[in-house]
Amino acid sequence: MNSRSKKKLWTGLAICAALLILTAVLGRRFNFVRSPLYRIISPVTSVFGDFASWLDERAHGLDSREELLNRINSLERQVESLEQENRLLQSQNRRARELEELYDLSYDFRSYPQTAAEIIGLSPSNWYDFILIGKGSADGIEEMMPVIAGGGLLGYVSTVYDTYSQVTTLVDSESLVFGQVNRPEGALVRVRGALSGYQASSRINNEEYLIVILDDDSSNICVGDEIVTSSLSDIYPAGLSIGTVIEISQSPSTGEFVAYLEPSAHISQLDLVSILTSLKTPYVPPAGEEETP
Amino acid sequence: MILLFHSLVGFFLIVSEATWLHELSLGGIIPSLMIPYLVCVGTFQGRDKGLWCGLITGLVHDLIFSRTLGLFALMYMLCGYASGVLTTNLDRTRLMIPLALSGLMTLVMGLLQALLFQWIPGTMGVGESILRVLVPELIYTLLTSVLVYVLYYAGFRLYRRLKYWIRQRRIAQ
Repeated sequence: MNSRSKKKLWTGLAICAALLILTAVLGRRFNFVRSPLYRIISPVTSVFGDFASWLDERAHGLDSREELLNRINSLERQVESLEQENRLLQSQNRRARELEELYDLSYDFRSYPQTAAEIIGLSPSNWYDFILIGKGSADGIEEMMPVIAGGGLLGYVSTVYDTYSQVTTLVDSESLVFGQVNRPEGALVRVRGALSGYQASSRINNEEYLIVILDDDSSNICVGDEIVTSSLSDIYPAGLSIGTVIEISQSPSTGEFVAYLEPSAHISQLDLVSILTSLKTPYVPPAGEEETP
Repeated sequence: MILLFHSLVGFFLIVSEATWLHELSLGGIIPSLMIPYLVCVGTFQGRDKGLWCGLITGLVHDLIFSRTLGLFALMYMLCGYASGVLTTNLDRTRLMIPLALSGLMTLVMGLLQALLFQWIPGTMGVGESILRVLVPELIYTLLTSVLVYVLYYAGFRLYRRLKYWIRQRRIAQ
């Protein structure tokens, strides 16, 4: 190794070390650099995102193609047009269902001001789970705002930039939420994320799922129970659906009893999310409705 | 110019990892495109270009996606540099060399990320994270490495031919 090359290596190491120290010292105050950079790259992510949607639509199109092939004998002349129509309808239907779910969910929490945002990026690593949404501080987004989608809670806004934000999802292994079994006198539980791709049980077929840590008694929760956010949570309003219990078993790593949840909101099936733009406030019924005691 | 081109390709690969590559995930695992790419850059362009390309693309990754500035810059920089150093006296055109290097780098970087993001916070056991994430990621990245290597090598040969042709034309003039 010649001295010039060594010098370059040390320069690179020094730059990295300086950045690591700066992050440790300044924390998120360094974020002002990220927003201008993201503004430059956003057209590229937008194009690549469209390509991802196209791939997704192709994958869904193949399913419908198989269905159409079974009917090809009886509908020979109509196959081509049906195939096209079917693809289009599936795509529209999926989007409509997503919007419908988002609307229903938004209606349930109508006392909270909300804004919708499009998912523009996913985590590029297998070791943590977050999404990027196309709204930032310029749109009134703040850190710790809850994000809902697809029938339930998705996560919270963890970092905000000018034009986009990073949302840490419930399935991220760093995420921890106080939940409650959605039954009269339902038990309080702690829900944490499980890493994408990590499947503790062969019976769990979903790529994304959550783990409920059962502190002492596993008899107060059973398969099929819905877990909702508890009023103990600092950031989430109470009553938001987190997921449904699909299995209860003993963790191979820690030995503690855990319940596995299928999350109410699956990132892989989403294009849109809704952000509750006011930080946690008590529930106020809409005008004209009387609060029941 | 070469460095700028390689950094630009690296940038597109990072954005790919965050967007359309998720459509090709198997069991929630996506392969790494950056590691085989940086191995190719280090192998074919030398340790210095591997180092700077790794540093620049790592910084872009950190600035857009990472929670810590400098972490991926350091890992990618060392990946590019080490690939250049380890292949100095080897036949770079043999597929097995970049493939083995990609595997080694994926393993080292995966272990480092597992240590920082899973083992130290205590969110996942060592054995589980190796079996459930690291091994599938390693296999998937190795498969992707073949494609990345073939494409890079084809581009590299095309570039050299083009360069030779331009030089010949200049001499003829």
